[in-house]
Amino acid sequence: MGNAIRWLKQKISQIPIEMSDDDAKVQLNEDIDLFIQEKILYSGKVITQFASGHIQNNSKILTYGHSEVLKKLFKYCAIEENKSFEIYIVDSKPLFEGKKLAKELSSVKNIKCHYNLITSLSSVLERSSIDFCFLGANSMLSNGRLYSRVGTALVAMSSKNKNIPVLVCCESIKFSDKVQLDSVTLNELGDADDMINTKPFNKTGFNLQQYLNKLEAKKLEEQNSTGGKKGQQQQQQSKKEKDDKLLQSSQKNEETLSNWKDYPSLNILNVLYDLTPPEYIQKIITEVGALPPSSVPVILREYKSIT
Amino acid sequence: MSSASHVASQKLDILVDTFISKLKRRQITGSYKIATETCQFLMRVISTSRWSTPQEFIQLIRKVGQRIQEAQPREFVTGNVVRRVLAIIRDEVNGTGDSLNNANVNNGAPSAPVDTSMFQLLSTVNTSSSTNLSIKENTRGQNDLRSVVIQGIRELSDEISSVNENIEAMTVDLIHENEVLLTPTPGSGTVLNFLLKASLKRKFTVLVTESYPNDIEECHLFAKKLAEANIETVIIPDSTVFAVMSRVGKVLIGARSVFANGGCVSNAGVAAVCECAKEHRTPVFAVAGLYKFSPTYPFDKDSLIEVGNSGKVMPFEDSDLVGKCEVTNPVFDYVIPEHIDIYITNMYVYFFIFINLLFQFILTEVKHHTNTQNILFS
Repeated sequence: MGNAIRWLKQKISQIPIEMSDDDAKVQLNEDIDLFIQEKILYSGKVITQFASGHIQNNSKILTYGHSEVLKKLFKYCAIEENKSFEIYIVDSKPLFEGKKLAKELSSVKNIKCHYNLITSLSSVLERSSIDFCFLGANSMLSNGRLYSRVGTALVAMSSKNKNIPVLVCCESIKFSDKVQLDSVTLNELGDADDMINTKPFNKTGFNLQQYLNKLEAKKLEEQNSTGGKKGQQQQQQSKKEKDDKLLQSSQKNEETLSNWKDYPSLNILNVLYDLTPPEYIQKIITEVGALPPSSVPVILREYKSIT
Repeated sequence: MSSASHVASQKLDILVDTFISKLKRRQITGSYKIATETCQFLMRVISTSRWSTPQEFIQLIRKVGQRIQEAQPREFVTGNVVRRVLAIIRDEVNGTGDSLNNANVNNGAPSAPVDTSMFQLLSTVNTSSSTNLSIKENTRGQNDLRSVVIQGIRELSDEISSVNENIEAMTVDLIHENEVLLTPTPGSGTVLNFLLKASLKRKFTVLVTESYPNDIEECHLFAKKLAEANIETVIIPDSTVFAVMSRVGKVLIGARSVFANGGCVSNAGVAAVCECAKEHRTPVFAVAGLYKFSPTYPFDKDSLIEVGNSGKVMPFEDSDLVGKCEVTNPVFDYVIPEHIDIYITNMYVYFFIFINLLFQFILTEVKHHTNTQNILFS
């Protein structure tokens, strides 16, 4: 995103002073549309062309999480090029992004999907002879490191140790001239409360959660205030007991850590990104070509000279 | 006489069958529980069984042992306990010759068992060429043997229950002040006790991985207990392990069973954590009671790994995915011996190459006393 904003600022500074505001806005809009087409949509298509050569018929691919570019790539290979292959999707808590990818790909005819959590990674790699590992990127740093969803580094390391080539598909807009040496120095924190759930869940937004809590509170009030006939009462009582038990059991599951903030020594760490060292990555596929991770600064230089 | 023995063998069958069905139905789970229950079971088997020669006795126990190992083939603890008991019996039978007195393995002549064990290593003399006893000595001898063996099993059972205390004694040497530890096995009671004991003398931080989906509730309880003991605890998701590994000083894992080559079986996800630790040159400690050490070799790694409920990985609420995706949920992971730096047991600390020595030591049954530690390392 920093790159896009920088580009926009540059474009704004290039507008001649004589142009009126409205004309300038129209031109800027056109430029932005062109930018989106070039750098994001078409890049995706070009990357797909380059990378599809790697996916043969009956190959087994490993991927982690959800990446738009990779999704396009897999769909292209299965639908346009009519190749049939197997995909092993590795997923992790708390975001469960792999499920999104699995939903999209499982409906495609030629793709056989396998879904696993990251704890079963070494069993999956041991049992199935995977041909390639495709990873998506959040950005490529100047020192060749891949900045991507947390867990990517683990997948890349395990694949490298089993001699599975790791390929990263990344548009050139995502290249950054930042340098970072480890994952902990600069990172983004996710919501700590996501970690409290012990069952798979779909993340509900804050407002939705508040609304649900209000509904529950209303229900409890209604149950408490029902008096009425004896038969009805008994029925309601037994129903209430059942509901109470259900509530209790679901509460118990959350209860183990729902008061985690009361414990001063207990912390929850939920970072969103991690850094994969360049020695685990075989090749980075961008719309300007395929390159090794050490060549990222070269692309940055070219990119800067073009704009 | 024959009807009494018939009744006794029926009782024995019932006993064995009950225990086997308990194992098969997983009414007993967890290595510690299984080990203690197996000890109790073997004590009862020995009290109700009838035999005429010690060799028959040994055969009987071996058969029972094979059956219970087959009932739960991935729980190696049953086999280990049976082997220890057989070693106790063989020691009795050989060590006392034809007099069948109480074995003087306690304190009297520590050198004698070592000599016989070394001798047995080099020679190929079978135990079947033992003495033949007269019938009168038999029945008296039987009861003596029985009571001695039961006493031995009781001591074994005590050893198993005191595993945690003995391991705790080593904590202080291994953890230094203000260290960051990572543990990917929150379900292990041994690790919990280890950390709680260490916190009395040292201040450190513990990172606990969630082990989702199988152990996550245990992880939360574990973290709570540590926090209640005022240990700085941080819960991290399994994917964050690589990101934080550069800040971690030591990795502490609980092993489920340890094999003859030094590899071990532990919870899912532990193999990846140990690989990660190897990449960062972080030392990995494995804690396991001695009853978890098995002299078997993991020839077939696939059969070691149990597969659990796929519904935990992908719940049935995701109905549009459930039919279309292959989902597996391996519950265990095999960790190769090169990834583990040291095993901490209730007897001593072992590097994986020396595990063979350890097994010879156990199988020739030298009693567990302080003198015996010197014997191993002298």
